[in-house]
Amino acid sequence: MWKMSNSIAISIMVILLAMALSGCGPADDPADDEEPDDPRYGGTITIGYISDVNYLNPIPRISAVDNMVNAWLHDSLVVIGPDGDPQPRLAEDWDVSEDAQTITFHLKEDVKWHDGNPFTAADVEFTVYTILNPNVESTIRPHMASLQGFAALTDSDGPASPDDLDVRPVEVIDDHTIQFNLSRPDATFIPMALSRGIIPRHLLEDDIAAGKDLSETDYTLEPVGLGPFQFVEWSRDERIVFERFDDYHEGRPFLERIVYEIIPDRSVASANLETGDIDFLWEAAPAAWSGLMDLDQIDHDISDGLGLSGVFLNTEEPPFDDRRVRQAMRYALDMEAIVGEYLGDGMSLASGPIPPNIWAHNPDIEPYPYDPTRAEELLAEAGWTPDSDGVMQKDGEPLAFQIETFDFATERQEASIAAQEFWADLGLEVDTRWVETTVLLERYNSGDYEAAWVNPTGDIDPAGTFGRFHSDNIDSGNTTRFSHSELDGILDEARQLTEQEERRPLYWEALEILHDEQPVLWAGYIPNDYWFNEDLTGFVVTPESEGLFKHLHLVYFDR
Amino acid sequence: MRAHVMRRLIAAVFMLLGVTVTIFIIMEIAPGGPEMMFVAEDMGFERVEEIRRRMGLDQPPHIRYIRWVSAAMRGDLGRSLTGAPLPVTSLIAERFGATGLLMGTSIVLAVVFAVILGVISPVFQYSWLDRITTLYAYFGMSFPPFWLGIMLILLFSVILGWLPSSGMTRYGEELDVVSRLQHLALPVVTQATMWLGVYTRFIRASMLEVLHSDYVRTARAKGLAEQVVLFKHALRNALIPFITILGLSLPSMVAGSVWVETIFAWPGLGRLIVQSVNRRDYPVIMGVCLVVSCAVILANLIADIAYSLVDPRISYD
Amino acid sequence: MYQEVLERFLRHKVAVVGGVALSIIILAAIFAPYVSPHDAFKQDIANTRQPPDSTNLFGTDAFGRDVLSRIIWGGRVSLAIGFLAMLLSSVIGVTIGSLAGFYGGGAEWLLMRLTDMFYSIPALLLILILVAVFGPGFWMTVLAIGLVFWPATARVVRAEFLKIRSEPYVEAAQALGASPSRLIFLHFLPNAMAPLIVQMTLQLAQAIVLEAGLSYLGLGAQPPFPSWGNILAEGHMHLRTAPWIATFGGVFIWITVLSFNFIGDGLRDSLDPSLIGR
Repeated sequence: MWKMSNSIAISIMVILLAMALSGCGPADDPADDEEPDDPRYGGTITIGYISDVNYLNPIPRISAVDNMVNAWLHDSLVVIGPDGDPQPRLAEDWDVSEDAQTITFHLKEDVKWHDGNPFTAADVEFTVYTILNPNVESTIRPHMASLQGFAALTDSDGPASPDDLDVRPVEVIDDHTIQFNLSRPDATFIPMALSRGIIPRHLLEDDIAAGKDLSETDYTLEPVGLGPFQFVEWSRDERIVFERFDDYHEGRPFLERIVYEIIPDRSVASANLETGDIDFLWEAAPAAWSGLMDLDQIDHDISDGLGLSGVFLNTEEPPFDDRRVRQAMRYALDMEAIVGEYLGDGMSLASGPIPPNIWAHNPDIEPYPYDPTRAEELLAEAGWTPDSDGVMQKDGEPLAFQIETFDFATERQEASIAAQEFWADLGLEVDTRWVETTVLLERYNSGDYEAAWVNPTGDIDPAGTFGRFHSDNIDSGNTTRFSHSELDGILDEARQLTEQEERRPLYWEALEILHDEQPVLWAGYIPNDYWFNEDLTGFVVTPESEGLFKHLHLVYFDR
Repeated sequence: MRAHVMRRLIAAVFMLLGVTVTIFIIMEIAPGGPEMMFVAEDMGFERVEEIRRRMGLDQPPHIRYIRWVSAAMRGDLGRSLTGAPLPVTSLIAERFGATGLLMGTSIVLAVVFAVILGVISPVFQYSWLDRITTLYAYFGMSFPPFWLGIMLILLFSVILGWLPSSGMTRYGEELDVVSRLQHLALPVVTQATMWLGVYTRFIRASMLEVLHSDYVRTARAKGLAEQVVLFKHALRNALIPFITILGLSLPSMVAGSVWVETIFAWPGLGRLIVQSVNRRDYPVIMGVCLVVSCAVILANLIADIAYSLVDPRISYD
Repeated sequence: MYQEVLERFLRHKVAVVGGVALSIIILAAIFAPYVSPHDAFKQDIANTRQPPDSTNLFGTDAFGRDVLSRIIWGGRVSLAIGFLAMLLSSVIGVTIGSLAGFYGGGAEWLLMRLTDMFYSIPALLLILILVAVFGPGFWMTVLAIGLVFWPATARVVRAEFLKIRSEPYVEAAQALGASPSRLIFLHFLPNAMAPLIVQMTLQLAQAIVLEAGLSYLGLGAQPPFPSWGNILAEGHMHLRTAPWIATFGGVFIWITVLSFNFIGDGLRDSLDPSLIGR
């Protein structure tokens, strides 16, 4: 069951056994006792993760854990479904105009905030303006770039007021209808910009008007959302507790309570799952996978996500400005062994930046094989010759570089050490170095690095992922500083289109170029891995790693 | 005496200034910054300057330091830049209790057992009890603490399933004393083992010294009861230097708490230190540093005063 | 005099045991290329995480390397870090402690407050920040540990100097016009040697433990050369599937530290016979 590599199906696991879970209260609705197949109400799910939340608020989103916790506290107009396409959530449905620049959303009626206030189109409008507000920090803002007046509204030296614009970006038609006006067709707008949590206008309007950042408001300490679970308490670095919201608009959630436990040591976290102290673990250390798989009381789901693991090369500086050197480095690696042994047994090999569960994936491209001979030939072509010690050199300079990764990323450290050995066999002098998060991010984003083992998360729409290889974006996301005029042209053309069928051939072509050029030595597609108590059932797996948490109201204990 | 304490307190103020300046300067040289927390592995950082401005990091360092000091003197340590938007004072206060509970229990246990073992074993010098005590003291103080923690979890939580390995309590059992004690057991044993070893050895040594000293011999010669000699003369004199050692071990204990808290998921100050440095959350770093330094300086001052109170021979005037 | 010290040391049984154990570990580390049973660096991806057997006595690690050989090589880095950090701490500590203890008065007050100040900075905070500034690595670990340890040494030296300062023979030498440097090197330091050597032994042991702790946080010595700390940290990741890595790594640190503590005690007794039994 665990290797569901390409399937993005709803996984519903029904296991018929009695309830014997520590810390989990008895089902408070015994009506379904006779039919164990039916979902049952009640029970506490204890979810373990390595770090505390930064903000209980869906707008700043600075870490994966923020996405996870805010997913069950807050709700959005659309959610990404198992097939990767947006489904209505707070919306009944939506209409898109002929020119694809006007999108009208019809909102559900009778949706309530956790404090009982009604949810209306004004909340949506407020959320959008808050994200656009340059005083407010949000990683969602770039996804809204196609809205009318984006540049004027987000100008940090005096943003315009929506009233001054010819066309407003958002218009409230009535309490349950809202219209978005785009300046250009943008296929990514609905899945990327509207799948994020809505915040309550009635609680935040004054703070935002006063020029505060969301992180400075007390709201973030006692959030009120629209999601299936409402906030109870937060003991920092210890746990956060949520309780079911009975008036949830998709129906009363099955689970009574979520206890989110912070367990900083990953080995201890897997041990806690083993002992039953926690029921659910996300992103277990790959080193612990095989141990967890052997346990009867633990089920798991490992499926393709949007993340990608690979060695990013700075293509601006020698020796990585030479395509042949980059290819040779990839041929020299037995990536299958490295991925299987260190990055997680269940991760599939990557041939490029787009994982197979995204429509733009090109199945005709195969990952480079392990071919040390070909690697040597390529280096020779590029003018590198081995010296007496077997070290490759050119014009008296050895082929030497440093590969870096984060100090917390133990599995990538191991993968780097293994890669170092393969490269040493080819005659490369490689140093490894583990660097603190903020330091490496700064260097990597400003091009001050040689090679870095990085795990970027792709967007649900491929445009953003491809944008990272466009020469316009050097200094703003194109961290390999890759510049290829033919690729730029293809990507510009694809950006003008909104139909998947028209975009696909262009993206396939782009993938061919990237495969040939290897600005990144693609390693594997990072799967979403979830490990849980065998009594839990009803998980919905989507390509987004936090997607599962957006459907937590469907999960229940089946005994 | 009072003049001495006053002098020390004034010196303490200058020392705290020195500590904060030192930390501030090193942080200033350090690469990376809190704004990078808003730049994911997959995002560009075109807006970094803007975030820095919002965080007030575009100001020159000396201005920021002076602002920090003047706010700190009013009891305002600023707010966290990268996490829960709480004043640094409450972030520290929240964790102070957790660290205090863990360290307090460990110290009390270590001291109580160390005094018992350290006093009894030299009375029966070279007996099996003495030998076991000495050997235990050596063994205990030589464990790398985090390794001991990991091994204890493996044994007592995973293999035997007797004790929980993480957290202070289970949710819903906050008032359950048994549950709290169970959660305390492994982290306290991990932290107390080393100190029990160090303290036992120290007390045993000073007991031996006292027992062989002239005045104890004189007391015995005068025909005083052995109990009186032991507890009234020997113990008191042996414990005086121990007070200083207790005060001096505080900084090492704070450092050790980082590992214990990380392994046992204990929401305390040690983890706040690591986290805030990793995120370059300047206000939190400065705040924690100030509070811990204050605690250490005060503990040493109190140890000194206590020393002079129990030992009238020491005078500061 | 040295004869006597040696004789007394040899009578201290645990210290001799510690000395022998430590000598074996140190010799093995020095001659690591000759005594390690396997290549400690050659990876074998087909032979990873194998439990102990007759070929690999302590099993293999996540890269298929022999754990025993890694531990033997790791002794080089760990012992070197311990030794150099102790040396650094002693140089700074002895200088500050001697100046304070010898001159007394305002200078002493100032230097001791400086010592107190460094003592009161949370050690780990200082280390974390230093590592952040200069990046983790061998020399950084040495520097950080040395900088954190010196105040303790300074206090020990100053306390000894205070005692010696009031000795009649020192007062006599001073009255005869002996120069300060002559006094410090001929009279003060030799008499402060006993507690100083004990302090150095204990700090060496503590430095080895601290290095391991830093490795657990990802801040210790860096590959490719193994330290006991990073063997332990790596083993911790694979605790459930390959418990032998962390177990043997930890046992070696423990034995080494234990030996240093034994020796420290033996030295104290043999250098200062008035303290026999301590």
